[in-house]
Amino acid sequence: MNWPSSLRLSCLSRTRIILEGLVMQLTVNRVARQYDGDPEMPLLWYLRDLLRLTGTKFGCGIGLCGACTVHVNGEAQRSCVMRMSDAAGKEVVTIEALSANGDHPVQLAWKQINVPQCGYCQSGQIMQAVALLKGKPSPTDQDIDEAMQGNICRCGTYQRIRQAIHIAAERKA
Amino acid sequence: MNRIERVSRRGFLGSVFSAGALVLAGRVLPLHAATSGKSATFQPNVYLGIEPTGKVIIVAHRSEMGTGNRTSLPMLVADELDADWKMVTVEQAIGDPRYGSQNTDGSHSVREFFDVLREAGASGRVMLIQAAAQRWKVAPTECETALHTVIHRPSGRRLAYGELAAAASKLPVPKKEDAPLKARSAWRYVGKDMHLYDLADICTGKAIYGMDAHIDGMVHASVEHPPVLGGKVKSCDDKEALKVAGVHQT
Repeated sequence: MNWPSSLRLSCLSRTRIILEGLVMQLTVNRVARQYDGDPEMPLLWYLRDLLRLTGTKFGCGIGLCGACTVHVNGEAQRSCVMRMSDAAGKEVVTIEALSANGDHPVQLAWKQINVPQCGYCQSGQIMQAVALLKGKPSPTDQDIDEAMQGNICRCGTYQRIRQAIHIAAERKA
Repeated sequence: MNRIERVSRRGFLGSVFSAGALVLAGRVLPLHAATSGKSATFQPNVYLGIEPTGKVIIVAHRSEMGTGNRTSLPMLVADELDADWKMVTVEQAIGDPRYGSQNTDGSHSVREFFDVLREAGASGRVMLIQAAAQRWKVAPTECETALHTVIHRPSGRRLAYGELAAAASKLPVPKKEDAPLKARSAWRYVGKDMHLYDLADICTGKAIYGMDAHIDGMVHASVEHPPVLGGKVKSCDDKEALKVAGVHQT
């Protein structure tokens, strides 16, 4: 919607003020949750500090590394730059709830070829890969590059990540 | 000088091993005696414990940063011990000078500890054989090990490592020449395509990293740096900082 920026800002401020007084509802890993703190707080800290779901990682805090990737209403999002006010009313899924026993096809592929090294980026890698395969069940290498380029890995496991995505795609097919 | 010694579990990580466990420590000369500052002191570096349940606990004393040493160093012990890798639990060491150098840099963890870790595993294996031979009243030379089990070749009798742990813990540690290492062709784990010990936990978000560690009542500190090199604090106004929710003090 093409609103003038002044109008847009004043609506946002009012929403924020309203939200500050409200209890925000959201679902995390299929459990209904309530949050009445600062609506500006990134979802990442709600998950890690308040819910103690530490599977989602902090890497940069500015949406550039992908370690904080979760699913919000089925889409991959960087939780470090998603405000609680934007997560309100939505369904969040973290790595811990991707499967009951670590047996999601992507997790199985990851385990089959020993993808991780230090593992710190891998929660985000897996969540992003799952989102990719949802939209593109048989991704090409270019699809993988484009979808995964925001998830960086200092250990350099990229070749195995790519291979595991192909394996998961074949497994599902 | 024997590099492997049996240790009382009370002295080290008492909570890790139970009373019935066989606990072995490996000692190495510090690579550079001068840097250790204690040229006359040998530093224990690694711990191997075998529980009466059969659980084998291997302590990983170097820092895992993605090089896989939390898997590869314990593999050295487990292979020479002839342990079932599925029965191995790896415990990460705390920072403790008794482990010797825990500096993890320069890609030399495996090279530096290759021999002593193999010796620790081989010593454990020999002690388990001796314990079984004593129980069966046979010669140890008639016994061999096969994955977490001691077998008496002539009679086919078998005893699991767990059943022998308590008895083995009372035996003297063999000299290095009496605890031969495996031929490389006999390795089960070393040189093979092993998966990361923590693979399943990493893939499910269960692996604990430094930032994930939590103790009730813990607080977090953040260092504020001056904006210029060599800058010194002239004054501090922490009024606004103290207003932020969760801030206790500056």
